[in-house]
Amino acid sequence: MDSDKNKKINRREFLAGAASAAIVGGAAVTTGCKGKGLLGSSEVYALEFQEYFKKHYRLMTQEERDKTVSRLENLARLKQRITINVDTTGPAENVLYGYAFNVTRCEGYMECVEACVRENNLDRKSNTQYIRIFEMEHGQMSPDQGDGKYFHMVPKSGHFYMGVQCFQCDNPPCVKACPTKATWKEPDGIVVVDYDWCIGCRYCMAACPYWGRRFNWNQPQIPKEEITTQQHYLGNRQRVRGMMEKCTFCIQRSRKGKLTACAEACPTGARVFGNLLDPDSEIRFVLENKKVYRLKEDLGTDPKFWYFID
Amino acid sequence: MEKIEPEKTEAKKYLFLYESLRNNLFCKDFHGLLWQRGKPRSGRAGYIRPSAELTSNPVQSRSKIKFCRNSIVLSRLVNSFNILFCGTRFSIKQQLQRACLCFVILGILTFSYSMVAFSNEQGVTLKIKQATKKTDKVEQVENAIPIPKNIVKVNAQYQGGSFFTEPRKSEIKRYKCSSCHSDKTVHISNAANISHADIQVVHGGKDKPLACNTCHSQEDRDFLVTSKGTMIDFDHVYDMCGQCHFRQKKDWIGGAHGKRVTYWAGERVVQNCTSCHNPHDPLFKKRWPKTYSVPLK
Repeated sequence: MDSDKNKKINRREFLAGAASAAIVGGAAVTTGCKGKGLLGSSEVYALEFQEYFKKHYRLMTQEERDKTVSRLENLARLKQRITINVDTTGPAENVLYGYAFNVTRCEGYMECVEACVRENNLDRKSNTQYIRIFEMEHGQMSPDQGDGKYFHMVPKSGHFYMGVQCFQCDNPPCVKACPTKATWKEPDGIVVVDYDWCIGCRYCMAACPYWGRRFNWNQPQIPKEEITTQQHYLGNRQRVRGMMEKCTFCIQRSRKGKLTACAEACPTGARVFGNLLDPDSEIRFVLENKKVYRLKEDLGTDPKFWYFID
Repeated sequence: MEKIEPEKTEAKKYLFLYESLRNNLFCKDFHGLLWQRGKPRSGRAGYIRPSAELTSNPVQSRSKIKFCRNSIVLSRLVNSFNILFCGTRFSIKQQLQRACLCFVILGILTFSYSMVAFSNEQGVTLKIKQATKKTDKVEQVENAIPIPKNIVKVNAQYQGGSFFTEPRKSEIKRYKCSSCHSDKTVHISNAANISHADIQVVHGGKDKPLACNTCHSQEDRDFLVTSKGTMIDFDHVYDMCGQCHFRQKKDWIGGAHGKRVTYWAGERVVQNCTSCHNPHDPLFKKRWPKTYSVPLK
């Protein structure tokens, strides 16, 4: 009786084991009958099925995270024939990311948008972009008065440019709206999405007052040679159709101490990224010495993204 | 002069006293105390004060008199409030209870509002204000961040101490300049092609256009020279630019102008002025944007 009790497995594990065994068996039969290549390899099926039964990212132990990472890397190797490196670096202590955008310096070259699309493996087919640059006339305050789809020689005289992306609110309304807790705020202030836990209801998209979230209406299509192979589980790993994604301050870069892709690509130095809890950081200098404002501050979302004027 | 009946209630008694003083100059209350009508002040009907002849009852003290007078005013005030809001009068005990209850409710409301206000409105701002402890630049992120080898230490301190910038000399293809620009005669083949006489200086505006020698030293071509005659190394070009663009230099040292190189953490390495700006033509040019956006809605 005791040995029986010890061997007891829960329902989820039983289903996962049974189903993957069945699939491997079934795949073996099909490959045996119809030949390899028609339905893919049995290894891919097995990996995909085990992926299907994994836990929420926050509930996983480090061991389970390592397992799912190795599965994802294997899947990329088998299906796309590329070598990727998915990491699960956690938040550093005493770090709170903040961003400042200089509306005087931005010239609207959109280098940041291009860098972001490339870095974060965004869908090229639907032209998904996390960042939007609005061309606004002098005196306009809100980006909904500006032109977000300009395409002419920049900078245009009498205009200024305002970049808008996810503001990583400290009181994020999207997190409150999510019915499956697939999105949450990390201790370093970044709001992330567990892509495998998202059901694609787009409640968060409706809750966000800044249009900060993007939905994958189709299977994201990226040319193989353009895929960023250095990926993060909560960041730029490849998404599938029907799930929400958003700017994560390039979590795969920022947690390694690097600047975000947009800040690094900016040719005019209009973008300042840094640690808000470090009194010596550039972002703190901006907040203490410049005229700063936040977008829709009256909503109480407490964004960690400031605009400033030279 | 009329005498007030002692069986009336306290408040009513004083009310009556007040009323009776409207008609009479003097009035005696139930203690036997003599009251006198005060002189009318501007805009007021007059006030009551104890008469100078306080001899009828020597036991009464002045504090008692004051209390009596104040209680009249208070009771009139409270009664008028009660009549206004409740339509009836209450006894002193009831009024006290109500007043206490009011204070308790007011206190709870104020306290709870401040709790809500502090928890929501001051989130990030409060966190930033509390974070005054200096963080370790090098140990902030687990991974050791490689410091680029080709950097120079800036001759200025930012809020966190010394910092580094990108060099300029290694970017100039034919440095040292003195290899050609010297007193000796040098024979250079293909000199027409490598001459930099084609450089257009678009710097300083129409009013005060800059010449080559505004920045480049005539004595030693390997250095720049400020208007005060200080020789400046090409690597420390920020000192050169900063003599006019002092505001930008201040922002650059602090971190609001320019940008860091690759890393936000670790030793601070920032781009030099000449990393982004062409010193001969520093303004950013008009050009096509790198990409375009499609409408969201």
